[in-house]
Amino acid sequence: MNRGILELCILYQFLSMDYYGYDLMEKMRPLFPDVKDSTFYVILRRLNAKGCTEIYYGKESYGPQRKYYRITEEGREYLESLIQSWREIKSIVESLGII
Amino acid sequence: MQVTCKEDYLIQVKNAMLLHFAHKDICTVLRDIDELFASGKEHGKTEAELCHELGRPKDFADHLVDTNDHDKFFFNMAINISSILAIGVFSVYIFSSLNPVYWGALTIAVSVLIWNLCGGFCLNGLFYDSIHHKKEYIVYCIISFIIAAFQQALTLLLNSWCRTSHFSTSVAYIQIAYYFSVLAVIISGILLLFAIYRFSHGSYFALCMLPVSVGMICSSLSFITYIKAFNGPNIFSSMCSIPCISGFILSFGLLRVFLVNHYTNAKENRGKL
Repeated sequence: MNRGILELCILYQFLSMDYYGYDLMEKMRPLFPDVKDSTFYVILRRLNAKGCTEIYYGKESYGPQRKYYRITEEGREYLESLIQSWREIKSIVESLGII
Repeated sequence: MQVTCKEDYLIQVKNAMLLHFAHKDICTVLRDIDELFASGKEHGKTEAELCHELGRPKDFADHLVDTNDHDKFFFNMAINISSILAIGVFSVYIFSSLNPVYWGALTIAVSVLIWNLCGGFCLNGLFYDSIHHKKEYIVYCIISFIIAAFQQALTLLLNSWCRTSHFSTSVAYIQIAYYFSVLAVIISGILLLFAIYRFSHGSYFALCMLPVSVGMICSSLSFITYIKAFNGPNIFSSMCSIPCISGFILSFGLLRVFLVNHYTNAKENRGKL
């Protein structure tokens, strides 16, 4: 599965609300049934390393404190660039009559 | 073999990341995986189901390695090789000092010193294992040290008795030492089986336990042979030194890593509250 699509979909989810790791994976799993949770985790980690998301800690669960992710301004700009790229691809594909 | 348990999953991911990441990054990933399992359990999932959803531990780690911009492979390799060389040099030095046997007491003191130095500065992050096995490892280190210290002390005593011809009056003590050695062989054998079991489950820490257990068995057999044949040091006493000492150094280094990391993690978690 194209990494760009996953980044786009994951970042888009953060526009509506903040998520913790497992919660986000539960949301994405039905959309991408062939993608393992480890892939979503790696993308989350990479987005955080890029500064597209920031972390804060919530209430305790059974184990360690729950780590929540929230989109940053940088993340919104990156999301906008991803959406723009996909629009361009879509228009090219449409102009060729593929879809 | 498919992983179905959180602890094995954590160990295998950690082992696959060891050479490529800084110790702090490995701790962060293991903490996140622990959190995923905890959240999954709240949603009614079993550990086996969560392991399946996450995918193979090696694939998990490979994904992380592929996207890691700060690969620390060469740095970590340099640290590990220099640590092992240092341990090898010290082991040869100690082995060559074991004759005459009255150097045995010095061996213990030097070994303890090396444990702390090597563990603190050279082996940090080399054999970090899941914190869930901390108690077993502490118990293992204490038992190993007690057995080895007693054996060294008894060897010293026996040899000094031989030199001063006191052994004829010390038969009772020699009997006790003999039975102690038999018990030590049995305990060491159990520790060896435990080490093999943990190693088969992907624990790198067990690599420390294997030579120590073998060394302790050789040391105990040396003692038994010494008492039975009463002909002084023998082949077992030569064999026991290097693996025993090397294993002790590595295992005590791990103990230091455990304690330091547990303290560091507890401090960070308190800061986040």
